[in-house]
Amino acid sequence: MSEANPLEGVSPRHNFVIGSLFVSASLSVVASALIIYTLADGTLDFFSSDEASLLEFISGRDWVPNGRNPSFGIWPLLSGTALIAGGALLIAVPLGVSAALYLSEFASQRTRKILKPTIEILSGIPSVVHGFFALLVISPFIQDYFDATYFNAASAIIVVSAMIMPIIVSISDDAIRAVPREMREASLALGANRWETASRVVLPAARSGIVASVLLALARAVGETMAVTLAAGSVASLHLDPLREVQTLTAYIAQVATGDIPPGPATDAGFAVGSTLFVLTYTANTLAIGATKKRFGRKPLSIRASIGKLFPSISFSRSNIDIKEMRKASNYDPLLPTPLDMKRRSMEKLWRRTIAFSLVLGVGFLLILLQSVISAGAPGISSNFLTNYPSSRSHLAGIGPVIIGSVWLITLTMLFALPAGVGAAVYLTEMSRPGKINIFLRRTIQNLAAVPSIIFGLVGLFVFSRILGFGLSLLTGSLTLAMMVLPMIVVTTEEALLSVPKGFRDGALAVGATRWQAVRHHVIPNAIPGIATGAILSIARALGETAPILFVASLFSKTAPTGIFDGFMAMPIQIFFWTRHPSQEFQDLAASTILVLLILLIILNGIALLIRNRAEARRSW
Amino acid sequence: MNKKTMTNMMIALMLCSMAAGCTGSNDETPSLIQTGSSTVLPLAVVWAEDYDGADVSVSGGGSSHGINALLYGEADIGDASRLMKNKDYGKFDNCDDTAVDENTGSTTVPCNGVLPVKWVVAYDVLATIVHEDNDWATSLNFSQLYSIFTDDNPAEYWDEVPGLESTAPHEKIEIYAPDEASGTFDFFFESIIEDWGKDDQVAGTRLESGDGVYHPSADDNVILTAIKNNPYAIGYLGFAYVQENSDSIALVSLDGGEGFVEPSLETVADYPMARPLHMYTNAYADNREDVEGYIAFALSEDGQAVVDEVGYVRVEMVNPDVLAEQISRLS
Repeated sequence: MSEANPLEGVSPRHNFVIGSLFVSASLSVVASALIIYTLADGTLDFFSSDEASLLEFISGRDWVPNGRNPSFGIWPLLSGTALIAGGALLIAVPLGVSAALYLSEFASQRTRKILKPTIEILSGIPSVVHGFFALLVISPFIQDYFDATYFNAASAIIVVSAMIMPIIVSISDDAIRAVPREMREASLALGANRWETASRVVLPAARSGIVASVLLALARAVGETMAVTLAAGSVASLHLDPLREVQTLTAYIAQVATGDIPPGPATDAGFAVGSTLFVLTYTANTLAIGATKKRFGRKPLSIRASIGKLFPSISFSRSNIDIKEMRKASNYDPLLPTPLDMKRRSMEKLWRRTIAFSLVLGVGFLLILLQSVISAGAPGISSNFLTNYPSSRSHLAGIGPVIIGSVWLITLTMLFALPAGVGAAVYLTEMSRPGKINIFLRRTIQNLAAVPSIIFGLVGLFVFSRILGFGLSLLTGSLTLAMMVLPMIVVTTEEALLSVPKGFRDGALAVGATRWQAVRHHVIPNAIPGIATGAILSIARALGETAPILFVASLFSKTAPTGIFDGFMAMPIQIFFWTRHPSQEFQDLAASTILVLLILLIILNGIALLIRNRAEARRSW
Repeated sequence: MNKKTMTNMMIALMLCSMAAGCTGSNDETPSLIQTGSSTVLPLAVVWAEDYDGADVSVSGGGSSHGINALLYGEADIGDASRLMKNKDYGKFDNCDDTAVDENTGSTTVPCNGVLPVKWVVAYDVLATIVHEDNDWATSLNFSQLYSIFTDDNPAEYWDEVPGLESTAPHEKIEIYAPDEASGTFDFFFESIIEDWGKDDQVAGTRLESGDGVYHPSADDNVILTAIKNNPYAIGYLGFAYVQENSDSIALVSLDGGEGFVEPSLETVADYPMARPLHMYTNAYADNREDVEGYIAFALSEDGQAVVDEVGYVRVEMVNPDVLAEQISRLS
């Protein structure tokens, strides 16, 4: 970057490229600054009121925000969040990583081609749907067999794990598949079987991507609002019993942000809770990144070391091997399997079945969910439903302008988020030198991933709508959503870039390309599968999220938007409204809308999938 | 490559929106923005649909959001299931946060260039409900509600409720009802707890007591399902939800001091728990005539005729004078 190195190719164009990449990377800092500004404002109001004190907030064990003797101790909300997010990770990480491992290492091409997109599309099922599924299907079961209360954390944990599993599967699968083939070949050549290769060689080599997927999943679990509020209840109490009701940090924010209570300490407390969440996730991310660095370092383990651990009896160091001794000891016949071989073979079988089962479990759960949506929603879909406006007479009601609103919204969101996210990732992994700024940017981005969606909604309302004057428009809505999906795109793109072998860059640089040329022509094209995954997951997220656009989107209008400053309706908002409607007909309309949303998701994802499959087929390693 | 895809998608999008015949604002029909309370929402949506004088877009987000958006000038109409409070003015540094009369929820002092005007557009009947098999608690007076719903020596079992000692079973009471952020919650307790919201309030809610009996939810369908599934549950909801499900739950007749009255759209004048639903508009707005045209429609015979459909009560049924007074202000 400095003129000291003539080989870096310092042209105005080059500077411009690096400059704009840096700007992309800094956008997350801008977004975080906006969030901090919004949160800090309300938090200060909260602590300056007579009823609240910082000491009580951080040490109190009671959260009773309303009533005669309000008490604002954060611990019950913290325990609720820890219970739900922790429980969901406990289920989703083993299942998700196993499923990804099965998909990438054992499943046939065809199975994989079908299952991966299916899982990704199912990640677009709006969280309201998960919430009702938890409450009406899972909760009764848990009540009957485990004597739980009507609202209970366990049912929320189960659906949240189903919601985050696609993130883990999808990103981990990319990471695992990006492990160079030679590593597998070397391992197999040394006598390891496929399970041993997958678990001891491939999995450790893919850990950075897997850790990234887990962090994103954790962020999502912590930030999840709607499903948790519906299923886990809204009583904040300090316990870790999954059979009782709990309230999470995000659920409280959503409760006061969308409620009817007048402004005051109880609503300002929402901002203090938001700030707490922000600080917590920042710390957790920092710790997690530190921990993974310390454990593994960035360099992959050598195959030798991995295989060495596998066969403790047959060490690779020459001095320990005594073949004669071995033959004497065990009537050794090289053609007959030894007991160790038998054991290894049956272990392989067992493990393959186990991880195949976790895939079946995950997909099965989501398919049951899908089936319940289809049976309620399919009968309502007609040309009338697809073209009419959302009338309050159920037989006339349709979602024509709503679909158009959603398509506008998603397109604009991706238009903002994709270049910015990819640019940021390219800057961070390829064009910048490791250092404090780099680390700071990366943490900021990862932290942004854990900001609960309702907070993006508040920021959108305050900053884009009010301060910048965009009003309740498509522009406000899409900028808000772009802010929300940005970290997912950055993280997945970074992983994709890291998985491109170093030799590609070295080769290009060696023949005289500038660093940007090497990245532009040799790294980015090879990273497209991973980038596409980020885009797919982002589209699913943006299409299904309710909270960030709750204050911006309309519920009723006879017309669709025609420009970016127009107001708009969006499908998740319509679903949210109709599921809360008193009459059954409207609840069925909500199911039909969900179905249309999934179909739209399939169409939008189809485009990204085509890109991904083509790029994967072209990939030369 | 991505850019190209994006451009293609943009083009496809334009084509699709044109094909669908969405010809936005092609004439002089004014546009109005309405936002706020989720209780008022179903009603606002019907009126927005039926009113021909303007394109009204409606959104939700809660009463506080509705009033806030009006004061910011973002919305032309702010929906609220509660009255405006001084605290709503307190959100703005330059507004006098003593200017609102909290008993009527109206004011004569503008804030942020907006002078809010209150309109009562309908009433919501608050129904107390129990499981359909419950035959011991189908009529309750306010002191019985008090012993079930407050933290002042609350009844743990049904047969501990005063007056039900011999008829009710010895089973634990479970409450499923709106959460404290909801306007319904506030209104219910305002009715049964004396001096609610004041310093000398006589008791707290059962939710505050933390005994785990009161299970709050923000979603009324969830509350309804919970009560359908638990024979010893009790709760309260807007009548609109009850009307759609009257065959699977039992309604509780209430006695507020003048005899038992069953909740229904017809008996509302005597029923002790009916609350007004409001729309706030800005008297200083440039498009005041357009806004008031919409309000006039909502209060007209055509507008009020659909109120029953939604499950709310026409203004006239509760207070004909209020209706007449509001209409006179419009002309």
